[in-house]
Amino acid sequence: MSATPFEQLAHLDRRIHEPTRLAILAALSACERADFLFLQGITGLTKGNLSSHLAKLEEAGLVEIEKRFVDKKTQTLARLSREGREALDTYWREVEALRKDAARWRPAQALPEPSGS
Amino acid sequence: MSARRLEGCMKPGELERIRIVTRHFVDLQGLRWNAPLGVLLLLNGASMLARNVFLSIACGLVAFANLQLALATKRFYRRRFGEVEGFDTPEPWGSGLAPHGPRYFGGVEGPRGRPMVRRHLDGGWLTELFLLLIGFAAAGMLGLFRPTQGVELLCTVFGAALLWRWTRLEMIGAQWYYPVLSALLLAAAAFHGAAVVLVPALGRVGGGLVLVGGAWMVAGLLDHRTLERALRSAGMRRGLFARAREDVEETPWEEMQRGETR
Repeated sequence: MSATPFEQLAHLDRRIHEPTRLAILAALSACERADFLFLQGITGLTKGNLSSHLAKLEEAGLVEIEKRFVDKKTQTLARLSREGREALDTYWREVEALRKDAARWRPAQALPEPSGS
Repeated sequence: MSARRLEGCMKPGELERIRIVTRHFVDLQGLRWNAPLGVLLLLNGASMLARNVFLSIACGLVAFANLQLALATKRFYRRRFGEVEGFDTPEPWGSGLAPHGPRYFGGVEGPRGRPMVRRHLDGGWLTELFLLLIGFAAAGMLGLFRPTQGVELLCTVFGAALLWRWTRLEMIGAQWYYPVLSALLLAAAAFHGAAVVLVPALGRVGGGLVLVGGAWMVAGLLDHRTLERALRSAGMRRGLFARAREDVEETPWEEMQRGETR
């Protein structure tokens, strides 16, 4: 038997399917690259949280981090890697399919027939 | 646990807001584009209406200072809100007025691998509008149209440009002021006779420039307010995010994964 939508939910890419990381990736998917200050403003995250999430995304190969000097200050820029862009596209396709499956799903399909009746 | 926490973290439409603000981050910098253009038009119009050489020179100097200030606001926005590089590098002032302008006319590759000429063609809409204005002024000086026709033409072109920008920016609700200002300009063009009765200065090109410049300046200031609000509202949610994400090391999904592997 095929998995129910709720079982499929557990198979979504967990690197992406987390609200904060999804917010970061959504911002990066709409531009070529963005700096740390902008990402902090648009997501409303604290510096520590954003750093931590960016580090995790970089470790997973979804995001590329670049540092450069602007006005004698370090500027951290993040961009979605090719793998990240593909993973995000796949993620949205899966979520859309899941949404359709969930709309069609009826509890009776999943529950076994009562033996006594 | 997690359903409630996730609900608190992300409102419906939040990702769409993030995507749109990121994509149009440069366009929303109203103090950098629309407001300086508006001030420039307004000052030109005022100097034409004044018919006083000294006042005209003063207007010209203020207009030049305004343009320099507009170029300096890039740094202001970078320091205040950060920096975003778009896919098509929207540089509304395009070629001539940007400090690195002349390079745009070359066929060399840009820093991000796109031909500079392409970047110019993609982005220089404000420069094109500015050149259109110079052409318009030249046509007026040659006597190709009457002043009243000139005002009608100005209001129609700049009103339509506002409407075009509104549809392009995707923020239909938040930028309600674009159709309002556009309607004002288009109405001034359509009912020009009645407008002149109410405001006699609109019978002269200078009056038209003041009206158009005022509308664009207001659009620029409100664009800046929209950007401030979009990023400040995210900041206000920061508390919520911070509370929800204190345990960054263990997100709900990682928690679930850890449970599975046990």
